[in-house]
Amino acid sequence: MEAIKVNNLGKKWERMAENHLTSKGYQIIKRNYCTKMGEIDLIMKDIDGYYVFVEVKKRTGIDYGRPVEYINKYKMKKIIRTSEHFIVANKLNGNDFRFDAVEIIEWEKGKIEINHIKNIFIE
Amino acid sequence: MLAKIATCTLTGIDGEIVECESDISNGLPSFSIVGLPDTAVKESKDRIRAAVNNSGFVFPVKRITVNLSPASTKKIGSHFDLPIAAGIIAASKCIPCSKFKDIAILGELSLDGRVNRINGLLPMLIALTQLSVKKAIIPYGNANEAVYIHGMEIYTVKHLQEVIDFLEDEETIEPLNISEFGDLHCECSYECDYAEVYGQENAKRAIEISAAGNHNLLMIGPPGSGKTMLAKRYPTILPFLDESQAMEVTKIYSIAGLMKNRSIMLERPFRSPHHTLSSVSLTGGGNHPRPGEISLANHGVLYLDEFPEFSRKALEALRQPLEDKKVTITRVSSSITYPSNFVLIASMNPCPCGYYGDSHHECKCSIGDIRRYMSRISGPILDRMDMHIEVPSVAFDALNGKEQRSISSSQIRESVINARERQNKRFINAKISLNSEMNNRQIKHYCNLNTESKKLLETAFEKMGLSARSYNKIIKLARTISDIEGSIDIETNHLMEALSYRNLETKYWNI
Repeated sequence: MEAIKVNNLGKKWERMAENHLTSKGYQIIKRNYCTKMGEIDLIMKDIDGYYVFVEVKKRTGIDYGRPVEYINKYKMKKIIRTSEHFIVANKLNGNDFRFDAVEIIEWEKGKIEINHIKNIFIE
Repeated sequence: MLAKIATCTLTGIDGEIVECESDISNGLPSFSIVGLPDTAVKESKDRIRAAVNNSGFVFPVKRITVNLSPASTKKIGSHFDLPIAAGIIAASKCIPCSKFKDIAILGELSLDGRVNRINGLLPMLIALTQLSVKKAIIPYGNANEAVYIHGMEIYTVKHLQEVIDFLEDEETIEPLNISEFGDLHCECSYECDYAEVYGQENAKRAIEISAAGNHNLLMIGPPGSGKTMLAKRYPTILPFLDESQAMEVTKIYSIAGLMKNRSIMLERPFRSPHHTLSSVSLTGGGNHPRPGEISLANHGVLYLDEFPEFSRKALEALRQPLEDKKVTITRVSSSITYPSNFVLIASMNPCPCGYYGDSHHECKCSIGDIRRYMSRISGPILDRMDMHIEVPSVAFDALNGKEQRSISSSQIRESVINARERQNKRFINAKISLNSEMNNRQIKHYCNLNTESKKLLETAFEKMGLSARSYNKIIKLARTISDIEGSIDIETNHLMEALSYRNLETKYWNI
């Protein structure tokens, strides 16, 4: 599938999230996997062999809720459908999969908090 | 990775074994329960996930499928939590299937992994023993109910962790100590006694007969004459339940969730529902039929105070269960039969103001009022009441205790037990135990009337305009009276007494 043009606004934070996970031993498989039905920020592989689909969310402050609260049902549906596309396109059936979120909160200039939340979707 | 654990589901008062299969496979993480689960079972998903995580295990990030087989019967209840959770942990920890062979697990989970008590445990355990399951794990809170179950090792658990340790053989739980039913010394003390009821010796005699043969009784009298008082003391003269009866009663109470902390029901149930009850709460019902008042009164007493105030629909619903001693409730999802072998005691005033026929008060009701009031009790219901008695207002002397001391509950009880023993002996080859349960053939076989009695009955039949049913009921009643008197045959005076309990219909209903 032809890649759709990606907005560069979030790139910086996605890179920060990726570095955070790589430092934990994760391997990067794919960045910004884009399809018609949605986009996955990062696809990585953890030390247990799980393919991890990562959604990165960044906010400045938590006055309007924490970043992860912005991942709603609709977003979840899009990510799951995109992940299915990735699995089929790369013939990965039969592996273990997981959906994670990385939330980045910029409290003030230069003071950044990164949280890695595992296994965010289970219906 | 598959785990299979046996558990149980209930249809009516009978249990059916359910195989709870948990499969964990690779793929997108998901958790689904299939096999016709009810809403409560579907909700268990969230409880199970929290309980597993909070008791030191990791809920697997895998594709989890739980099947409750046979997939065609509807699964109701919260007791599937524990087998499903244990199955998921067992499958993820690869505990071999052989470890939980012959074990059935029942229990509800709290979010912190504690095991909560469940409803309907006793009927499920009885069903499991009949299906020759060897061991069962049950909630600690239900231990009381399980102590009379034989032929099975029962383990009680308080926490999900204990179940897993038990399956892994890391910790052995001692099986529950089983008690013998015969060892039970039930000295139930009642708070009331017939000795407290002064006067009303006729009514007490009628109650004694009713209790001896399980005959339905209708009491008519002015307000304050002691009808309710008499009825409230009815259970004090009944013998305790025997083992099979106790099991049946306990089963129903267990399903209805009325066991609290009791272990087994020994006293006969006494149900006195308020007259606003609906016909469904009387007979039982609901989407998944639950037992109603008549089934809760099984082997005991159903007391309906202020009989005419009950809704017509509720009263008429009593007709069939009174005859059949069981009630079949049919709904779209299922058809369930509950036993309803109870004795009906009813009390009522003779008119709206209450004083019709009273010697001290004047009745203010018009004939039309009285007719309307009495017609709330339909002919078919009246016909099914074996005995109709009047409970007149009490004289001052009797109240003051100037007359001889009144008969006490223990005396009446002794006579009731003796009469019941005589009946049991007589019906040893029949499938019944009490006179009121006799069918037409048994009446012919067990109730021989002498020529004089036959003649009397013939006259009465024509003069009183008896129905075929009430004719039979009179003979059965006479049989009970002769059992109380200790006579082998039915004497004429027994028959006369029986007939005397039938003569109020003309006085109150044909005015």
